[in-house]
Amino acid sequence: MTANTIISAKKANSLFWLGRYEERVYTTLHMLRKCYDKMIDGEVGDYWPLLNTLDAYGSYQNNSEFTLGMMYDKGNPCSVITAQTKAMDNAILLREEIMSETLSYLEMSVALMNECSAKKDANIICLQPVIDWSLAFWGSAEQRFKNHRALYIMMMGRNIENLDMLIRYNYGYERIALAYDSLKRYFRQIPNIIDENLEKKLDMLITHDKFRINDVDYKHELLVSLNKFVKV
Amino acid sequence: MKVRIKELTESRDTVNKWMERYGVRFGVYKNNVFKEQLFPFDPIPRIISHEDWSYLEKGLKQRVITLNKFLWDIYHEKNIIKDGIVPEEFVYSSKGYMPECEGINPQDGIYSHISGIDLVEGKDGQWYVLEDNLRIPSGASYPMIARQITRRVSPATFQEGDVAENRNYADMLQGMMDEMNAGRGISVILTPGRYNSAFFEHSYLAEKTGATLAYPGDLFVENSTVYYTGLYKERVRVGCIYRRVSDEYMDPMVFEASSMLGIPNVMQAYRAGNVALINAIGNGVADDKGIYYFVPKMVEYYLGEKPILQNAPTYLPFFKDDYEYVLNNIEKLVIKDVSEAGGYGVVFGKDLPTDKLNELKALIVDQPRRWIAQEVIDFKDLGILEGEECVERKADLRAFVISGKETKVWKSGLTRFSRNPDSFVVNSSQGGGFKDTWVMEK
Repeated sequence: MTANTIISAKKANSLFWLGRYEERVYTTLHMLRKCYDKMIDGEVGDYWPLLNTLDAYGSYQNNSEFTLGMMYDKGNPCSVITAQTKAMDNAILLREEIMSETLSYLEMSVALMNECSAKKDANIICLQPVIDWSLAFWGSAEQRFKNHRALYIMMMGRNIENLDMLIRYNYGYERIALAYDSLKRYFRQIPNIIDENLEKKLDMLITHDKFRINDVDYKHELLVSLNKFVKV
Repeated sequence: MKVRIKELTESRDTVNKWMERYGVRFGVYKNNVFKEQLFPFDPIPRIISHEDWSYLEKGLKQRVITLNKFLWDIYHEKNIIKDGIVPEEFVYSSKGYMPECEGINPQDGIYSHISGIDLVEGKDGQWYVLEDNLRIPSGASYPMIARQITRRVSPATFQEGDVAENRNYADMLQGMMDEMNAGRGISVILTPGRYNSAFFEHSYLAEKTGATLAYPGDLFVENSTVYYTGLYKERVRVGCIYRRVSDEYMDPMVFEASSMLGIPNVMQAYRAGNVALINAIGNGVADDKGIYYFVPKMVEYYLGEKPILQNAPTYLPFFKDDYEYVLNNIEKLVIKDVSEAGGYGVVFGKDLPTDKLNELKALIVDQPRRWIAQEVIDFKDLGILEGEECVERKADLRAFVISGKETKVWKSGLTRFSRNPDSFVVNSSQGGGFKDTWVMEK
């Protein structure tokens, strides 16, 4: 009968976290690849800066153990497999919103990661399809979502995660301002979804004059405001 | 039509890979731990000839129309009891009978909108009905998606075009939900959630029918009207709920008070005719294993026709003659506990040692109403692929009948098979697999 454009609180929450976790898969793999490259001919412990940046934990004996842990350790909240599993946990509740074709890219990623994990394949290249499928997932989502509000909520999650990672990795002003603009494109479409006071605060913090990414307090304030910003 | 077994066989792994890609799974609880597993698909289809299907289609329609008339009668005039066709003990002691549904008038008198009728084909080619599932029959999504994938992976198989389309199940379902919709609200599929064994099906059917998948807590009732609630308390009226939640959990104000899965006061809205429930609540009284015995009699009673489909030869220990027969022949019968489902509570007398047979006899003596007994039907085995070899296994067929303004039979069905060579139990929860069911157009 009537098409439903209303999104329940439960689905909004799943959409938002699907967006965040899927972006985390992509970003973590991206950062891990950079670190992996450094470790090829680097020192033991070259991974420490990455661990610190992610507020991650773990005691690893060597670089290879670290790589395996970051790729496949389901007990490590910062690992790629944890992010992928959590993305899937949210996506599976949303099949009729995101459609089976879109969902299938995540299913394939989870299956591949479990397969590589069982083989303890520490060569990060084995997860290249996960990156490809992640990009395919976003493309498919853009095309297939029937409910645009649902798409915007998911894209807000994606953009917040992206911004969060850029801040953690001390990216420069231009990049962060651009990512914030991208986020704004989505929340402008959905009234009441954000905390307006925090929006004002972020508007103020992400300006050329105020930007001090190497200042611990500033960075902390930025991250806290960003992570409390959306009301789902 | 020539069936291209070779192509189908070669496609098995690819099809199963695609099933994995689409997340075609079902959940099982083992030792209270939830686990999802793939539903093993066998590529060799069950093929039903045009002639056989014409017979089955007529019989299935007749049976489901009858069962809907029975449900109306039971919750209204009860003529079938008054006329002595069905003993009242079988109605009122049934766990599926819901006194709370007395006098409710579902639209067009339809209670069972989606009926899953389990059949087997005997070695002599005779079809028998084993069970009627009128509460929440599941499984249609599996052959639907299997057909979609097989056509993609092995197009040559379908080139001759004689196989009836089965991907129209969602359209049939959607059409029926639209017809039943009260008040032009939205249609929703109410799922208990991800940890339900059939969650894949709930979400897949929502996608394919365009219905909204609703979770517990998404729906509420105000002034006897059901609403779907959104973020920030927006609301939209609901006209049809295809509920995949059991009767006793549907309304905590009327049934199980501790239920977190249902919708408080939905029965009020339902009674007022403001929302359609697909299937109606209270249908369990008609698919009770004890009531099954009376279905052929019901056909004659309500329609004045001879039943087209046969039941498996069944005995009710409740009746004196049957009681004696069952106790004297228990070792050659299959005994079913009427309160169980999903292949549980089914025992074959031939498999039991003497002491266990005696225990079972004592249970039957103690509670004759609780049991039915059936002759073991030597049903036709179907070929399945095991490794590279084709082996024969027991299989049944769940046919789906959709009842809206009209009663229609879906030209396909779920063929389930046992993977265990010695077993007659085909349920997925007990390790069975499935096949596509091809109905031939000519």
